Amino acid sequence: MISFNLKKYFYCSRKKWLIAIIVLLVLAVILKYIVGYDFLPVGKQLTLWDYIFASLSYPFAMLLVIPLLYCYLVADIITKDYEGGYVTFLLSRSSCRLEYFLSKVIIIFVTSNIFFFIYLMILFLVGLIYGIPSNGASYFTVTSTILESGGTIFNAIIMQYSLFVTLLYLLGILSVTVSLIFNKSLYSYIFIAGLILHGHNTVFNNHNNLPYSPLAQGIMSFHYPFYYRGLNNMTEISESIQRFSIGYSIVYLSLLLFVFFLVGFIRIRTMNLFLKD
Amino acid sequence: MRKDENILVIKGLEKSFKGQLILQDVNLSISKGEIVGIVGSNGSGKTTLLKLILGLSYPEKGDIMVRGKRVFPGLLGDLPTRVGALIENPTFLPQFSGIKNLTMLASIRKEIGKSDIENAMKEMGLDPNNKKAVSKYSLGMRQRLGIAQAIMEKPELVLFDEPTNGLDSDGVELFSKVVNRMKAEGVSFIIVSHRKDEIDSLCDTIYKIENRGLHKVNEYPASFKENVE
Repeated sequence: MISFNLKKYFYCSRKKWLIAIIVLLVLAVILKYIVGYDFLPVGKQLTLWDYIFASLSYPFAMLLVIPLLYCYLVADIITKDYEGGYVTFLLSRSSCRLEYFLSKVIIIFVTSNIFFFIYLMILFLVGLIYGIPSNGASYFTVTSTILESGGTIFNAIIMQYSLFVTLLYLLGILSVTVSLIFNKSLYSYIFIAGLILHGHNTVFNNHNNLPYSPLAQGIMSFHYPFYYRGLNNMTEISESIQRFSIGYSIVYLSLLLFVFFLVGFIRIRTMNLFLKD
Repeated sequence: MRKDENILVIKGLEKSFKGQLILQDVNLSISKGEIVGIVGSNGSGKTTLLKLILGLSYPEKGDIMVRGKRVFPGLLGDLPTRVGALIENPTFLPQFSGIKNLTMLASIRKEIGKSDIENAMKEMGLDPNNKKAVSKYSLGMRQRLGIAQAIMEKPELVLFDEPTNGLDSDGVELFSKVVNRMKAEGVSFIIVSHRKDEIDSLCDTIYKIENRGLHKVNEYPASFKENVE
């Protein structure tokens, strides 16, 4: 069931992925021109790793474009099956609905990984095409903090990967669950839009809510200790920010992921998979 | 499974949809190699009954047992096994050929090989070497492919909903041959159809869904039987 559903998903979603890649490419180009404004001192050169990590933490991308784009890729992976009646062919070959649901959950995990690496590659390529140097002083809070504390870019990529993929995995499960509850993938977008508004308010108006906004968890530069460094050690850091670490976010996102997985499974376990509820 | 053993047993089945009772106190037993036909007016619940047997939906009351296994939500959302089905219009992956579609579906259970798939297609008069995409198939060809996918994995129970929809006379003849061949091998069928001739020539027992219940047609007066469509 898993290999079948993976093949079917990528076959049916080729156009969607092509659109997603184009959007990510355009996003990467736009970010090349704007990310530096927030942290780069006047007259200093943007480096490749600063560009990549600042892009991966840029609120416009992480709060708006990435969540909607990923939702577009996976929200209908179950509803499409039963809207078209294809689910008859699948369930008549399956021993239980959990098997079917798990195969979709695995698709979400695989696609969240692919999405991250495609985005990373696009950022890298855009950086190379624009001739952004890979060497030089780092000014972005994530890269400078990690490098100055003896870490490497590889450490930063691992941290970023964990945050990004866990967030996408959650958004995927959430989208599928919401679309199952309402029998339409459109409702997933509405739910994601709610999260975007909450994330926007958190990031731009009230940083004390950072630990509670699902989308803000994906912004690495807002985590402790990067956030602290980003303020040039000048501001007193509130307790809520101090506990907003990478580890906290991964646990928080994983818990939400588990909850939405359970809700999704409970829903699909008994629902009508042909007739609209 | 013994020859006289029932492959499907339905007891006291009840199903509502959007607050409206569709099926009530439905009872049905099908033994190995038996072909049951179900007729009824539009919206009477014929297709719903097939969906319930397949586990696409679960009943509010009553039991469905397929090959001795209960079809109910349970812990994991249990589904019947060794059941083939063609319910309503078959939807395939449109850009793939017929054989590619069936090969992909067969990869879920991994129980049959390429030759079994080809044989099922040939039996329904389809050329396995035809590379034409399913999107370019006629309604009749798609229906033949739908029948082939339902029978290719040698199921013990096959559910057909209006199986001859869109089939020409050759297609109907091939379908009848397939059903009779499989019946001789002990495969049971439920065929939902509006076509009286199909029901008469193929089925051992005919039921009609009326007033939410399932009634044996040969228990009705002859004048009623004449009017069954």
